[in-house]
Amino acid sequence: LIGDQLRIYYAELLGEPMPDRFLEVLRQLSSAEGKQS
Amino acid sequence: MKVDPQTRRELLAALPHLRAFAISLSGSVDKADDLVQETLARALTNIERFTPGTCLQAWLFTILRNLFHTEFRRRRREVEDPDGLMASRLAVLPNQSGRLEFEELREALAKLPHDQREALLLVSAEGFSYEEAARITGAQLGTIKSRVNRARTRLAELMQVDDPEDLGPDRLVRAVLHAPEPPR
Repeated sequence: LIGDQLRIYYAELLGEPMPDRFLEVLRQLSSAEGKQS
Repeated sequence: MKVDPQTRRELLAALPHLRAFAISLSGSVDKADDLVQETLARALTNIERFTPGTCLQAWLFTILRNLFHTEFRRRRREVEDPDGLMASRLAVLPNQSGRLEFEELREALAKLPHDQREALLLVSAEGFSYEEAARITGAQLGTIKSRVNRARTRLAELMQVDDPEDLGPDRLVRAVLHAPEPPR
């Protein structure tokens, strides 16, 4: 069914783990939050 | 760079959606990740321009969408995925059956005109209202509605959905092909 295909497609994309390249951004955000607290 | 905790949480929550939208928009995982990274960089650089209490995700989608149009669309040939390799670049692969279905849908979405695919993803997949999608894309409200309707019709044709019963009970299918009018 098309429903299964769509469900799989979006689930796969939204469920993807964030690549390592975004870790630096996450670190920056954590650092910024730490400086504010 | 000052990011309040609430904005930080919303930004982190938006990441998977930004990446899914970017992948669907560009047809390339690598290009999508470039796009998301640049979107994050610009958002953080200009975070003071964001008005707390407004929709951060819509603001981020606007940045990403504009970046795509200005920097990526003109290099369209570079971001196409004619060999259907996108699924193989994802970190978590579906099983064989799911992978075939994933590729089939990906190909159907890729066949939609760009503006229709964009409108369909924003409204039916990401859940933005027509008004929000119009603001994100800079298009008229009526234009967005028309694009979404045409995209739904074309996707149904491409997926060979002749009978609404074939849609089954899946919530997302109903959302994409028979979405009710978004709240005004």
